[in-house]
Formats: sequence, structure tokens, C-alpha cells
Amino acid sequence: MQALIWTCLLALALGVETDAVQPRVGAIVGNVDVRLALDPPERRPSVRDLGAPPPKGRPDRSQSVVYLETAPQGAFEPRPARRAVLDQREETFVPYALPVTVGTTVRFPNSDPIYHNVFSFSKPKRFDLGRYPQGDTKTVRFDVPGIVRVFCEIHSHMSAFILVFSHRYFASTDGSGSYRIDAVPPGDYDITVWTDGAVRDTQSVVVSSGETVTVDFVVE
Amino acid sequence: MRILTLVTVMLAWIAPPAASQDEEDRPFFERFVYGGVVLGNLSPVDHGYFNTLDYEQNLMRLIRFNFAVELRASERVGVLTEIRSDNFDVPEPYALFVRFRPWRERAFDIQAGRIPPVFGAFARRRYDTDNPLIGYPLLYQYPNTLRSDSLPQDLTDVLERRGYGAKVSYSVGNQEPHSGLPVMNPLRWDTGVQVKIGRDPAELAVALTQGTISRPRVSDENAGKQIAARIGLRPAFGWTVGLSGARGEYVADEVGELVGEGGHQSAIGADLEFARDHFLLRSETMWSQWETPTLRAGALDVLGFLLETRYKLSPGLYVAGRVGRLSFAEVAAPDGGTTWDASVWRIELGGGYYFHRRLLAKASLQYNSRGAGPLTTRAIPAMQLLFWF
Repeated sequence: MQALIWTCLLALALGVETDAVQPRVGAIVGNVDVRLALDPPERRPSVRDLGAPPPKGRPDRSQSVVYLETAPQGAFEPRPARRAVLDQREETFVPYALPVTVGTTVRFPNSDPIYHNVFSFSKPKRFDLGRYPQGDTKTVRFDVPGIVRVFCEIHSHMSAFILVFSHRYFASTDGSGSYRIDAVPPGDYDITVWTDGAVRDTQSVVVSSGETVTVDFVVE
Repeated sequence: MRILTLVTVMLAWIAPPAASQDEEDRPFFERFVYGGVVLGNLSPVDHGYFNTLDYEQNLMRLIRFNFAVELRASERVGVLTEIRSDNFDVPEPYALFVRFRPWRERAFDIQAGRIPPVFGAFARRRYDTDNPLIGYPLLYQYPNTLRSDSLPQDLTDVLERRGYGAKVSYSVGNQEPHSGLPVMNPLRWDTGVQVKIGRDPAELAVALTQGTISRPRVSDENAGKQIAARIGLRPAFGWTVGLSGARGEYVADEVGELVGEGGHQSAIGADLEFARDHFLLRSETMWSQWETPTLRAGALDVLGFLLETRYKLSPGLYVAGRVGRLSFAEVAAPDGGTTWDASVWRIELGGGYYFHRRLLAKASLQYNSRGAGPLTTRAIPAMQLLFWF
């Protein structure tokens, strides 16, 4: 009986303690208005071709990635392995910017009826996947944080960015420029927007318990 | 040049304006795209003249600036040029042509001006980054002992010069020594009109030009034209097969008139490419014949091949090799049968490393062997530093 009373008291104490240290998480939402002129990369002059090259896709270079500069405590705890996809369609990498966490395995399917050869010489990850046909896919695991620039050896106008984060507090903008970072613990943070290979702006934000904060950016 | 300008203006005028077309929505100066290559080749002096180009430079000791510009006047019309300077020579436009696509959705293109060659495959590989080694295949570089403006009096004249194609002359016509004819010249482009139909899995390109594959010309030096064609097939992913043919008059009028007739170059070629993962294999075979009006034998033949491979060992690092052969045909020499020029072998082994996506360093060892000439064997180490933009 005594043991049962002690157990109940301990459980009650722990419950009170848990409520005290785990406030409700918030969210950061907003819009990134890219006013820079970001034309899609052009093919090199096709002087040696016997005819005009086929039409190619247009990468969305205005697609931005918004992330917290300083991650909350616990953000670096080991997480289950994640997967992401960087497609090759109409001689274009889709998406143009792919944010992932450390340990993510990225698939590179070839959806074009021609060869591609994905490679990167970036310091966080050097790789060369060789040539593979439509329908095939190859994978690369990213274990070091940093920015990995990806190219196609055959089509020099094809390029993309993989942003490897050591925490999970980031988001990509959608077609309208909107983004949302969920499950942010209350606290003071610096939030940064990255667009087309460069950090464009950083702002301070305070996230209160259970609240959704709006942070908009203008990139020009 | 005036005709080319006229054709450009005419085609640009014919192309109908369309508000939805991206190119025509853009300001004029944004319709230009450019790219280029700067490279330096370093090797010892080649006393055997194995790597002499048609303009008497050594390919393995060369500094090259190559600049290409494309004006995308509309989705259907473009003007393209490639300007090159070797060893700080005055830059020249080695390509300058108009590309016209009459129907936007159909793979049917017309190119007019100084156009890319339709024959074979090596000559159209994009820039020097697509050549895994430093040297060129024998088929596309090695000068034989024939010239278009200087003819031998008889077969003995030809046989005396076996292996000396890097600098050769005869008594009929131009007697100033100059390099002979390669089977195909990939560096100087011919002038004329070319049509290409289709893309995948089959394409056909046909060209009517001033010169021949050995001697591409801006202005014609004889009355004859060359017709050349190539059929390209992609039977399966990673495979490309091509069949080419060409025939045109190569003997210059200035010497043809002296002997009362001209002469044709005829050529047939087959090319093959296979690529998968980190492996690349290319092969070409060519037969060429030059009609030589002063010889009783009439025509001189050569059969050649190249086999080239590249394998990537790790990101940015590859090894490559190429073997090539030119077998000149046997002729009835006074003292027995022999080939009209000294047959030659070439093996080149090397590799490359990308310090940066745009900066490539190559190293190779080339071994040449031939039956006669200033040197019969020669091993040539070489290095190349290449930057493209």
C-alpha cells in the first residue's frame, strides 16, 4: 500500500514537472517576395549541333528556402532516416532547391527519354552517378551539413541546390512564395531566407507558446 | 558573306512574330548566349610531325581560345558563330551560319553558311571537354601526302614522300611545301546548306558544300560541290549508330586545269557509341578515296579506324584510351607492292581530373608508329589545362 502511494505521488510530481518544461510549440509562416530577375540558365551555344535542340523545362529559380539560424535545444537529436527526391525532367532538376536534414537519402530518378549524368564537386558531398536511362534512379545519402551544388555532366544548363541542414527547422516556398515552419519551440530566433545560391535576408523573430508568427521577406 | 547576311535577314523576316514565344519577348541583347573554351597543351617538340594540323601547327603544343555565340532571334531562327584563335593567331570565325526551323513542332532544321560537318561523329563533339584525351584520332588529324593544289607527276613521286605528309609538295601545281590532307578535317568547317530531319530514334542529315571532308572551304576552289549525308540511329538507350557518306571534288582548278581534269574525294564511314554508368565507348571506321588525275592507278585509298574509351574512377577523375590506325592501300610500285603512304598506328593513354566543374587538367602519353617518314616511332607525353565557360 505504501509503495502504491509513493508511486502515485511520484507520477503526479513528474506530470506537473513535464507540464512546466514543455510549453506548446508554435509555428512561423510567411511569404517570400522575390523581385530579382532570375532567368532560367541558358544552354551553351549549340554551334556543333546539326539542328535546334529540343525544348527544355524552366527551373523555378525564385524558389526559396527559409530556415532558423539558431536551432532550439533538442533539434540535433538523432532522427529516423529520411528520404527525398530530386527529379530530372525536361532537362531540368525539380525542385531547383531541395532542403534536407543530415542523414537524408536523396533519390535522383531520370524522367527524361535521354541520358543524364548527375554529379557534384561540392565539399559536403562529392559524387558522380554516371549515365542512366529513363525510369532508372540512383541514390545519395547526405551526412554532412552544407550546400551541395548539383549538375548534369551532359547538359551544362542543368543545375540545382541541395541544402543539408543539421536541424529540421526549415521550409521551402511554394509556387506563390509562401512557407511554413511547424513545431517551433517558444524562443528568440534569427530566421534567414536563401534564394538562388545566396543568403538574401535575416530577421529576428520571437515565437511564443502555441502561437503562429508571420515573417515576410522581400528579396530584391 | 553578303549572301549569308541576306539569308539571315530574310529568314528573320519570314519567322512570324508570336507574343507567346519566349525569345521574342526578351530584349534584343538578352537573346545572345555565349560559351567558350581556353586551353593550353604542352608537350616536347615532335620531330616526327605526327600531330601536325592542316595549318602546320602542332596540336600537342597549342594555346587555343574558342568563343561561340548564338543569337536566338526567335524560336525558329538563330545565328551561330564560333571564333577561334590558335597560338594567338588573328581570331577567325570557323563557324558562321543561320539555323532555321520552318515548323516549330517538327524536327526539321535547315542550316546555311559555314556549317558543322555531317560526316562522322568526332567533329561534332561539343568543345574540347568532350575529347577525353589531348590528341585527336588519326582519321581526323593525320596529314597524308596528297594535296588539293599540288599533284604528283607519277607514282614514284608519291612513293618518295611516304610518311612526309606534314610538309609536302609536288612538281605539278603549287610547289610551296604545306601539310597534306587528313581523311577528315574537324577544325575547318565547310560552307553550304544542310538539312536535318528527325531526332529520336532516327535522324538524317544531308549537306551540300563547297569543299570536301578533307578540305572544307569558304570559297570554292573548283566547280564541283560535295554532297555528304549521315543517318544516325539510337536502337536502344545508350547506343548510337551512324552511317555516313560523302563525295566531292577536291582538286583545285589551278592545278586541275594544268592536267586537264579534276578529282573527287569519296568517303564512307560508320560510327558507334555506347555509354552506361561511368563507362563510355566510341568507335569509328572510315574509308576514303582520292582520285588523282596524274596517276595511272587513278585513285588512292585509305582505310582507318579509331576505338576510344573513358571510365570515371571517382567524382572528377577519369582514365581514357584511344587506339587508331590508318592503312593506306597498296599500289604497284616499280620495286614491288607497297602502300602509297606510310601506314600509321597511334595509341594514346591518359586521364583527367576536374579541379572545378569548369577547370580540367589532362595528361596523356601518345605512342605513334609508321612505316616511313622523318621518324618512324615516337612517344609523346603531353599535358593540357582547360577552362570552359
